[in-house]
Amino acid sequence: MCPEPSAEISQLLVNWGLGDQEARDALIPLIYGELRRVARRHLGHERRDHTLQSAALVNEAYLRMVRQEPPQWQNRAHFFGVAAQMMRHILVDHARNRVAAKRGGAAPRLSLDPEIGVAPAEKQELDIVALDSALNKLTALDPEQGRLIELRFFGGLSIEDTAVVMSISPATVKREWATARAWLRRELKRDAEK
Amino acid sequence: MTPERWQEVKKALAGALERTPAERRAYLDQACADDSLRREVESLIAAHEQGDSSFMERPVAGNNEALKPGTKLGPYEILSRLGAGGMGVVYRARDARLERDVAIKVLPLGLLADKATRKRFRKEALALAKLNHPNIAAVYDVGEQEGTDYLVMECVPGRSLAEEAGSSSLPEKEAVELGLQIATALEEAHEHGIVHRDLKPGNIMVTPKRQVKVLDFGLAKILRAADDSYSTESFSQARDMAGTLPYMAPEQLRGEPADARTDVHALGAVLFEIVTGQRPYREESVFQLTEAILHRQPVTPRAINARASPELERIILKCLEKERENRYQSAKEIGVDLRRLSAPSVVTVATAVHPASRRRVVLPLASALVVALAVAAGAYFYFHRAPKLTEKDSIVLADFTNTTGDPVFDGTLRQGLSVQLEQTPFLQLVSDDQIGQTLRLMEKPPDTRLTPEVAREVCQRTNATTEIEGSIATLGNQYVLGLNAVNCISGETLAGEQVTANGKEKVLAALTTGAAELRSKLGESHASLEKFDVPLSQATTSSLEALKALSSGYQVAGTSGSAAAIPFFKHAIQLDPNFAMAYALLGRMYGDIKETSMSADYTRRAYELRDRTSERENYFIAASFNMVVTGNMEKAAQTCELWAEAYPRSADPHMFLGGIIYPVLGQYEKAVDEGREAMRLNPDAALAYYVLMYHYTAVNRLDEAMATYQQALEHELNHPTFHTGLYMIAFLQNDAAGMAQQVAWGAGKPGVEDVLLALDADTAAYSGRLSAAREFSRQAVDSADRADKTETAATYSALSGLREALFGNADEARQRVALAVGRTTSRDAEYTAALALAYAGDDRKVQVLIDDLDKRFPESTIVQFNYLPTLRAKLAVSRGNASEAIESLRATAPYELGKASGTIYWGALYPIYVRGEAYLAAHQASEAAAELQKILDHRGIVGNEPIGALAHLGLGRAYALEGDTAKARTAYKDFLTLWQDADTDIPVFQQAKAEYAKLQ
Repeated sequence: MCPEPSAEISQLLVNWGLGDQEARDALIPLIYGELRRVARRHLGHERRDHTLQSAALVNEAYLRMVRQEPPQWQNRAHFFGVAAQMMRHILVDHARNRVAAKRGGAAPRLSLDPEIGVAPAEKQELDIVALDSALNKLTALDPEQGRLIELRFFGGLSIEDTAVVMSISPATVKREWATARAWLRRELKRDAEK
Repeated sequence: MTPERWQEVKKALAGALERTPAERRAYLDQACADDSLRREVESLIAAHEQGDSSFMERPVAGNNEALKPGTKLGPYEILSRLGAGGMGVVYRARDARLERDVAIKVLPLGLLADKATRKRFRKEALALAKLNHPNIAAVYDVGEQEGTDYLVMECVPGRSLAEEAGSSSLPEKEAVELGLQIATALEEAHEHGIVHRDLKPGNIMVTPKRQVKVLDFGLAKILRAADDSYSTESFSQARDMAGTLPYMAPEQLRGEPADARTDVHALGAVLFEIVTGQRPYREESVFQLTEAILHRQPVTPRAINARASPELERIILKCLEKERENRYQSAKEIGVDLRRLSAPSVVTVATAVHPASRRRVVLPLASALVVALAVAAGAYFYFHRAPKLTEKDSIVLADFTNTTGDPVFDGTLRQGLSVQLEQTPFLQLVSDDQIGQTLRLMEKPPDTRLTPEVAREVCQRTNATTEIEGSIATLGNQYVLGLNAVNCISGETLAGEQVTANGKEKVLAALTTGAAELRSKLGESHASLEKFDVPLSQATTSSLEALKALSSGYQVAGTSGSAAAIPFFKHAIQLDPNFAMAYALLGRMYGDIKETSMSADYTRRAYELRDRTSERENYFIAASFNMVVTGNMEKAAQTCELWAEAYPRSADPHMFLGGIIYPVLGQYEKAVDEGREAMRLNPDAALAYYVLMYHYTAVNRLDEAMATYQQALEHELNHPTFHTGLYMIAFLQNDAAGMAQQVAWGAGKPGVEDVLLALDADTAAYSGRLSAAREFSRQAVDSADRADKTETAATYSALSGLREALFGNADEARQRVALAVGRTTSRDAEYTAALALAYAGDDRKVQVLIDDLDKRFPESTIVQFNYLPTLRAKLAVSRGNASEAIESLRATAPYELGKASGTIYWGALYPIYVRGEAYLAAHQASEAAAELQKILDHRGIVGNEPIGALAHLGLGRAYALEGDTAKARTAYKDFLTLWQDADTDIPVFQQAKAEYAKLQ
C-alpha cells in the first residue's frame, strides 16, 4: 500500500549524497517522524538506562530506514547529521514533557524512569534540558562547535565519523570536543548554582 | 562573551588541555596576552578538572556500527571483524605493544550500564584472565573507551568445531582426542571454580595443529551478571539458561545453578555430535527440544554410527544423564575414561587425518531449524532485557502447538492467552478480523491454522512487531505450557516463559501465570501488571471446554456472522453457567441481529456476573448493559469514553459509540467520527465501514458513504449490512435499478433477505404503492420468521401497521399491529405498534403500551426522550389538546433526530412529525411548516419512511393554513407527483387530491 518510509528515506539520502539539497529538506520531516516513532517505543516503557535506549533508538531508526539498500557512507554521515539534530529535539522534548508532567516535582533528569519517578540521589545524571540550553548558548558563540557536540553527543558519532561529517580532521574534532565539554560543564555548573 | 572572544579562549584552552597540568602554567603565561583571557581559560580548566570525568563521555545516542579497521580501542587497533554473536561483535585487532594479534569482543552498547556493573564485570573478567591453559583461549584484558566496553582475548587461528564438523561424524580416535582436550580444559577451569556454562561446538576452536582452544569460559555468567541490574524480581527459569539450547543441561533448563557437571553434560552433547554427526536431541521447536532434554533419553550413538565403540557410547551417555548425580562428577573423570580409550598414537593419527578427506553431509533442514531456534533462544537469554515491547507494538498470537493429543486445548489456550494479554492496555493484539483479512490476502482460508510460520507472516503483513507462539505438551501427568514472544521481522526471541500445570484443571491457572510473566518480560510495569491481573479462571472461566466453545464462537462470528455464532456461546454457557463473557457475547450477537429482548436478557446476566471479568471485558459488559438493558445512552457513552481512554487502541468502544449510541442521541456527525476512529484502529473490521457508511448517509454525504464502501471492498471486506446501506444510498439517489440490484442480491439469503424486502416495502409505500408495500412486508415477515428472527418479524408487522394507520387505514393497521403485539415484548416493536394504534385512534390501548414501556424502560434514553413523549403528544393531538402535545415533545428536543439504532432505518423523526401535526392542529402554521421542512431536510435520516413522503403533504397543509397558496400548491404537487403511481384507494391520497383541488 503506502511505501515504507525507510525506502523513501534511503532514496533521499542517496539523492542528497548526489548533491540534491531539496532531498535534504525533504528528509528532515521523514527522519524526524521515524525517530519519533522509534523514540516513543523506547522512551515510554524503558528502564533507567536511557543511554542504551537512545542508542538503540537511533540505531533502530537508522537501520530500519536504510536496511533495504545501504547507501554510501557519505550518505550515512549525512544521515547522522540530521539524526543527531532530531534526536536532540526528541530527547529535549521528552525531558520537558516530563517536567510538565511532574509539575512541582523534581527537576527532570535524563535517566528518570517514568515508572519509578526520581532516580536515586547518588546517581548524578545529566540534566538534558539544561544541557540543551547551554548548548544553544555555545552554538550562538560557535555554530560549528555546537553542531559538533550535537553529532557526537546526540548523534553518537565517533570522533572519526564526526570528522567525516564535518569535513575536518579527527584531531580538530578532539580539540573542539574537549574545549566544548569544558565550556558546557562550566555553564551547567553556573546554571546549577543559580 | 563574543564569538570572537570565544575563539581566542578556545585556542588557549585547547592548548592547555593538551598539556599536562604541570606544563599548563608555563603555557598560559605565554599563550594568554591579557589577564581576563587567562582567568577565563583557567576557569574553564577548573571546570574540566573538577566535575565528573564521565561528563558527556557516553553519547546520549550512539551506534553499534561495526568498528572500522584502524579504529583504536585503547592500545589495540582494529584489523577486521571476525564475527558477531549474542554477546557482541568480535574483531581481530593488533596489540602494537606486544606485537601480537588479539581477538576483541566489543560488548553490546549499554550492557554495562553503570559503574558498579562495569566494576563487577572487570573483576570477573580478570578472574578469567587467571586461567592459563593450552586448551583455553586466554583472556588478556578488559577495557572501556568512550562508553564502549570490550574484552581482549587470545586470537585463536583455525575453525570452530561447529564450522569444521558440520554434520559429519569424526573418526573415533579423533573424536576421543578432541574430547580429551576439551575435558582437560574443563578440568583446569573447574579447578579455578569457573564453569563454562555455554560449551558448544561454536565455542570450541580447533587450530590447524588440531589443538583445541575452548573460548568464552564463564562469559555466559559474567555477562549475565552484568545484565542482572535489569531485574530484581520475578525472573524465572530463563535466568540460568545462558547456554545455547541444544547443549544445555536439564538443570539449566530448570533454572538451577550450573556447576561443573553442567559442563560435563555439554561435553557429552558435543561428543555425541562429533561421533554421530547429529545432536543428541533433534527436536525442532524450542519447546520440544526443552522437553526432550529434560525428560527424554537420547538415542544411543551406536544406533546412528555403528562404528562407534560401546565404551565411547557409554562415556557419552553417562555425560548425558539427566540427574547430575548420575553423570561423571568431574571433567577429570571423563578424562580418565577417554584416556583409557585412546592409544598413545592417537595424537599422531588424529593429526594425520586431513579434514578434507571427511565426507561432508548436507545439514538436514530439521537440524538447521534447531540451530535457528537455538540461536533465537540464545539471543533471548542474553538479551532478555533489551528488546521489549511498548505500546506501539502489536502482537499476533499463533495457535498453540498442542502435542498432548487432547483436542480440548485447540483454540482454547489461544483464546485464554488472548484474554490474558488483552486485559492490559499495554499490549495490543492484532484482531481476528484483521488476521482473517490477512489470511485472505495470503490466499488462505480464514480459518487457517496459525502455525508459527503462518502467524509470523501474518505478523509481518499486519505491520505488527511481535508474534507469540505457544505450546502445550504432556509430561507424565503434568502439562507444560510454553510461551515465546518472537520479533516477527528479525526472528529474535523477545521473551520466553515456561510453566507447568499439575493436571488438566490447572492448565488455565498456569496459563495465567505464564501470561503475566510474559507481560512482565515484555516490559509491562509492575503497577500495570497489578492493576490488570484478573486470573483467567476468574476472568473468564475455569472450564477449558467452555473456553473452547467461546473461542469457536468467536471464530464463527468472524467468518460466518453473528447468528451462526449463537449456538457456540450457548454451549459455552451450558458448560459454565457463570461464564460472564459468554453471556455478554450472546447478548451482542442477538443485538446484532436485532433480537433486542434476547440481547437484553443475556446482557443482563453478563452484568450480574461482571465481577468475574477482566477490566477490558468489564467495559464491554458495562457498555452493553447500558446500551441494551437500560438503554441509558448517556451512561453508555460515558462508559465507552472511559473504555477508549483506558484502551486507546481498541476499536470496540468506538464501534459502540458510532454504531449504537450516537445514533440514538441523534448525533450523526459524532457517529461518523467514531466510525472513522474505529476504522483507523481496526481497518479490517467490516462493521467499522458499515458504521461509517450508514452515518455518512444519515448526514446526506452520499459520496463519502459510497467511498467508504469502496474502501471496504479494497480491504476485501464484505458484510450483509453493506447491501442495506447501498440500498438506502440508491433510494436517496432515486436509483430504482440500484435498489433492485440489492434486493436481488439479498434474495434467498436467510437473515438478510428480510431486511431488504422490508426496505422495499417502505420504498413502495413512499410512493403510495400500498398494495405492493403490503406484499413486500408480508414477504419480509415470512423471511424473518424463516430465519428465526421472531422479534424482527413482529417489528415488520408493526411497521406495516404504522404505515396503514398513517395512510388512514385504521382497520388494516389494527390487524397488523395485533400480529406484532402478541409476538414480542421488544421495545422498538412495541413502540411502533403503539404509534400505529395512536394513528388508528385506539387511544386506550396506546396508554397501556405507554405505561408498559415507561415501567420497563425507566432509564432508556430513546424510550423516555423520544418514544413516550411522541406517543403522549400524539394522544394529546387526538384529544384536541395541541399545546399539551407540543409541551410533551419539548423533552425530545436534544434527541429528536435520534433513532433506535444506527443499524435500521425505522422510527426516526416521528417526534418532529408529530410536533408538525400538533402545530397544524394549533393553527401555528409557520411553526408547523418549519417542523415538516426539517423532515425533508433530513432525508438521509428519515430515508424511505412513510413520513418522508407525508411531510410534503403536511407542508402543503401548513402553507395553506398560512395562506401561502403558491407554496402550498407546490408542496401538494410535490406529494402528488411522488404519488403519481399510487393506489387510488388510499384515504390520505384521496384527501390530498381533494385539498389540492380546493387550492386551485
